Amino acid sequence: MPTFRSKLTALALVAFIGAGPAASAEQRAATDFDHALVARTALEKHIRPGFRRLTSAFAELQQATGSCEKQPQFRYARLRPVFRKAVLAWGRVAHLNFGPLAAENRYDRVFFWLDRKGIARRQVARALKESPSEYRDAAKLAQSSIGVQGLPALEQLIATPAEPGENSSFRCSYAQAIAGNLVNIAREVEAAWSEGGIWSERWLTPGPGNPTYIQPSETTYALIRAYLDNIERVRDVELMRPLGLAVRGRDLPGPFARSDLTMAFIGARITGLRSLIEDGGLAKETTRTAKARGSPAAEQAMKQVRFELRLLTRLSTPLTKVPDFFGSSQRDEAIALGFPLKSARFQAERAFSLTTDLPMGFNASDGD
Amino acid sequence: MHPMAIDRRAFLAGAGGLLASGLAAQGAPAETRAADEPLFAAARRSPDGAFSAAIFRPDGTDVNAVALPARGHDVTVCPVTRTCVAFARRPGNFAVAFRRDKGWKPIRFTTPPDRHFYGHGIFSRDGRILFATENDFEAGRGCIGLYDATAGFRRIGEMESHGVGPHDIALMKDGRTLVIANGGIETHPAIGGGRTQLNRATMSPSLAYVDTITGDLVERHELPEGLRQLSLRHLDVGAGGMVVIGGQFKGDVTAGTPLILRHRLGGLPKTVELAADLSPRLRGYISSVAVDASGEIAALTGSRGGIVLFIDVATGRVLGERSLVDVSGVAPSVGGFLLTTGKGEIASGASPSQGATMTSSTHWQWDNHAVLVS
Repeated sequence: MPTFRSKLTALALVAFIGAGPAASAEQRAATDFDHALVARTALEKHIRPGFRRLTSAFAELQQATGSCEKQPQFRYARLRPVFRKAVLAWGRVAHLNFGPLAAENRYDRVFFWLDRKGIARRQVARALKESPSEYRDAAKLAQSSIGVQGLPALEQLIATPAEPGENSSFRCSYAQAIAGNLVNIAREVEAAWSEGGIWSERWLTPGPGNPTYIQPSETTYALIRAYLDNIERVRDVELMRPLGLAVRGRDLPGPFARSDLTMAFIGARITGLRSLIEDGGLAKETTRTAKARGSPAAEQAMKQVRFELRLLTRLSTPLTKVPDFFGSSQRDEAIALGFPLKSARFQAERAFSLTTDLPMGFNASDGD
Repeated sequence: MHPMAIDRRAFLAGAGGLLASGLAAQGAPAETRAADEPLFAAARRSPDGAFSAAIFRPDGTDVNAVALPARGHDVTVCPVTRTCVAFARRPGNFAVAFRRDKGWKPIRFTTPPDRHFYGHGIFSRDGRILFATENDFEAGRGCIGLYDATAGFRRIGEMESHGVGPHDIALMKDGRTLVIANGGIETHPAIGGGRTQLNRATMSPSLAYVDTITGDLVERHELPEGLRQLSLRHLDVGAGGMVVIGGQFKGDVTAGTPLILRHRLGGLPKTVELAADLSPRLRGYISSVAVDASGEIAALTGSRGGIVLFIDVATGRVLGERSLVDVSGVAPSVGGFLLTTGKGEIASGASPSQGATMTSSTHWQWDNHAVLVS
């Protein structure tokens, strides 16, 4: 009869299997998660369409700012609809902060937030006073402080009134430069993810020569982390702050608060995260693997994720249409988003943990 | 005035009669045990979600345990009394001192309201002062809290950590100089549960050495631009004063992304060369660092990659690796290292030349770190 110690030794042998090469497609069993399929689906159905939409929205913004210098009394209110569209397009891809969006500080150049100490706000205000020439040129602006070249900086130009004696042509040129910079960034990211683009190649061909993704599971891991980290961020940072639910939280506004687009942005974030799960192929492949493994727990968990995301869409959509939402009597209704956001994260972690064999453990998921 | 100044005078005045006074009053551990039985300590979570810290044997049985009000992180051990102090995980503000002797009443203490712990601390060599990494979150400044272990862990002052987001801390072999891993990440307890990075675009990790007697900065190294996203988190001191530092990379991890540094006072930090596929397999994440009793071999765990890596402290050469799912805690032990995992396993004797023996499979989720108590 095996002793307790010998059982433990057997456990040890199981536990200390060296990390071998990933199984090839031919070797993959039906119970294995199809990482290659999800990588391709996510790229084609979620990543590329999202960044195409972003480039297009930023290009519209650029076009709209282009007419301001011809109109001495240009009203920045005219920019608001295209700015809103740009914010929504950004909200739908902001979770894809890996690959080309993470490289060269592109994410922060588009969206420097939370600016808790108001550094960027002060930099933009100073620029409006001093009219530095490099802020009139998109290429030169791209070399400037990260906080002055993206959407929050443009929001400040659109949403704040001109100071007496302010150089109005500068505000216009600066807005044009920001919009041009945003278009350049979006085009770079879109190109990197396009057919034959450098990140597209890396994403689809994991292996020993690949500098970023060596095992096929690593692309899945990137997608799962994007989902888990961002759904948590929406709840704990972007939503909780304006609701004043965090300790000492009432003093900091939500994202795009000055243009009253916080809820619209959060709605777009939920749409983007739902698209990642649904269009990106994670839900389908997780469910398939759960069934193949005979894991009703994983299947049920993914069902609940999909339900919570549908619920979040249903709950958030009407709130995005309320003017001055956080100043309105309806603001407390946003609290209803809290639990589904938490559940959509928790259940997803459970479903992925049971099907992908990726590290979702106590320390692997939430170490320090 | 330097915040340490007043307290330092009190500290120095008492230093001469130290053992004769405070520590002697506390007494040495009274309980006896088998001389060759190593004991370890770690924080953990039970299946019902309750948090505790324990002193335990390699077979997973408890010698003593204390409940924690929330998730813990690291435990540090007094070199004189073997008192263990379990720290809250950031942004928690509690710590609990306990001993293997169940008759010794645990002491719970906290940071001031405008500070929180980062989960790590270290005792002075004489055991009188506990140094803990803390966040002065309104100022976005790292500091080292000083707690008097002879007076119920009363906070008696603080020093600069000389960086943002100080995390792990160790005492150099001179018994006087602290080495601090400043992760470079700014957080605020009111934002994102205190775990959201507020300065991703401007993070600036650094390694700082601070004189515990004067509070002066001895040496400080900021990482170069290419390593700006490498948050320095955990460290240990090996033979010859070589500090081994494990980092967590906050950008996209590519082949060759450095995750481990070595540094000796007076020199420049050196990166440990990793095989091309190792950084991605580690998912850019080192969880814990421990040097063995000889000071010559360091073990570094990577919970996200489920990897234990062994390196030669003197040369930085990678000596080998092992796989273990959700491994994180690592402590020097007899014949190698003890490892703990978030899945409940405890494994002993891990070394570059041999796999570990699984000595226990418990129902606990062992947290980030494990330490040798005695």
